[in-house]
Amino acid sequence: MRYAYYPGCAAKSSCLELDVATKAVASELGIDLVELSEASCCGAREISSVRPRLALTLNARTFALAEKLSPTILTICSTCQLTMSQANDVLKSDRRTLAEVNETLSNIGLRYGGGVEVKHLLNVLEEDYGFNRLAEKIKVSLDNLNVAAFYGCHLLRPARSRRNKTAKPHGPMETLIETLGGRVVDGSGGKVCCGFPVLLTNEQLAVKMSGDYLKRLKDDGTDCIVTPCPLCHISFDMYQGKVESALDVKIDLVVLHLSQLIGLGLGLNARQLMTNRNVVSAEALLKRIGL
Amino acid sequence: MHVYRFDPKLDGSPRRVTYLVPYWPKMRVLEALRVIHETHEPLAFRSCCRAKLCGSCAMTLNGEPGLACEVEASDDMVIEPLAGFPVLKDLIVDFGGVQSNLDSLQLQPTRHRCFNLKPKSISLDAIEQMKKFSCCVWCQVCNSACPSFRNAPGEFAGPSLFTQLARIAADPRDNASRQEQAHSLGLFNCVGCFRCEEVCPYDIPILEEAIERFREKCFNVKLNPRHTEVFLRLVRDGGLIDSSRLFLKTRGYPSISELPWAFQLLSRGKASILAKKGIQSANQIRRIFEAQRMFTN
Repeated sequence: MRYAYYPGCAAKSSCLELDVATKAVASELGIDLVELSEASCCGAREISSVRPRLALTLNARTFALAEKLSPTILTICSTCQLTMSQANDVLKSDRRTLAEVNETLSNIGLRYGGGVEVKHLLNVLEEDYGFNRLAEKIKVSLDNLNVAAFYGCHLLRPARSRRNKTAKPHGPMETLIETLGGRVVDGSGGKVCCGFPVLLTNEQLAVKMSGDYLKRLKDDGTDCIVTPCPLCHISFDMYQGKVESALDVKIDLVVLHLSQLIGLGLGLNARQLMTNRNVVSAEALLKRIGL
Repeated sequence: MHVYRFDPKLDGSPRRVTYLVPYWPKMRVLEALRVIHETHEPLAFRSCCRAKLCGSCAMTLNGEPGLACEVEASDDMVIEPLAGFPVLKDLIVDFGGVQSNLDSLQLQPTRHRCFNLKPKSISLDAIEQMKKFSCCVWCQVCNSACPSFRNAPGEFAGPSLFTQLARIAADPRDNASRQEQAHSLGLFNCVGCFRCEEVCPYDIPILEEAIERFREKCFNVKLNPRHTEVFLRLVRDGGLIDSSRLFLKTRGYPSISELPWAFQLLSRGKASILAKKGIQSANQIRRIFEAQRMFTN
């Protein structure tokens, strides 16, 4: 199993632990990741909303680089997944646009043939690797931890771009958590937004959005949140202190990246998963499951 | 069925009342409400066409906003008023806020250029574009699902307003500056979560074809937050976004009250005061920007 690995911007800066944990998990599972180290930012909705053609070209460049390595790009961010799969859909379905974009790419010696697929790690594990096969590798049970499964909006919506109907009550995240021995917190799936897109432009609004969700989870007895999106992780983990100040309440809720949670189940240690980089300390949680 | 009941003149607080309703195949929630109203006790709710055309029967059904005439009734269903709006009585909410916002937009075609009195046909393309939004029945289901509207209605007027604005902006007879109106409605406070599109009874592409197209138009006339430009320039210069640079260049240095938080992030390696190196082939990215005539300075 060989994938062109696209870590995205967050996993290469503020969420470096996600990049490290993903590589450790992939190595443990025998998944071969070839990193797209020269790929650019996908543009997120920030660029695709104000300059759609620019976003399309940037992503076509990434696809052209990936095409030489593997037919599948593996992403680890919900927003990268949506932005890239939408761009890919346009390029694959509209030959004229693909030709125009390729004309721009020809100036830098690249060409995209329309032959890659973009898949999030969660979907790779569900469809290509298989949760049953993953279950055989589990060394540490999550000991009935109450885990909130927060997909991130862009892995769930819009429905017309969704590869899987992940919005159903029991999606791949829920199955994965149960495979690892955890208990899924009811209604934690993600009809709410973490507020990340307005974090730098309207922090008060963003903190209110994430705060309401974090407080509800805390009141429901949640032990930790797991998310397949580093942007949601930033909102919930890095800004949790600000939420506590705004709501004047102690939340202290551990937020794990999807790769970190899987890594715990595989018996990887805190150093391999870089859990010491998480702002809300995961130390007590790790002790509880015997790591 | 469990129905929210509240009469501000009589009740101190809302209550949930359970009713037994006979079920028949494909029964809609609206039909169940009529049974309750006619055979149990009077219940306040809005409805009119019973055919998904008037948008008046919007409410929260099992936690999700929707039209009572469209959604099928089911056992143990929880029926509540449309979230995000003040309750007037039982399942009736007050749309006064969004309605006054709508009235202020002057949504009739407005010509700033002199009309030469000669008939002019409207292209089929323009009609198709308008049709995407003209099917909106103003039910407010999208606003009820919208996290920005729910948390800060004063800062984000709600997806339904942008749908209405997009309809008139697509009309070739209209010359008004609709992007400025969109900007004043809090355009950049949309979080892009797609909840509006997910719940819309008519599948209107509210985010991608209304809100984001207004963002594009606003960007063209520099009516965008600083953040957007910083983001684009960081990608152009290094290929990737360095979160710390993005923060500093958008927000400036943390305030004194933010310093403990900033030091915590620095100590965990989450933030850095040193600029991160971009990708080695960043010159390729710059050339793509140049080809799009973006930030060539």
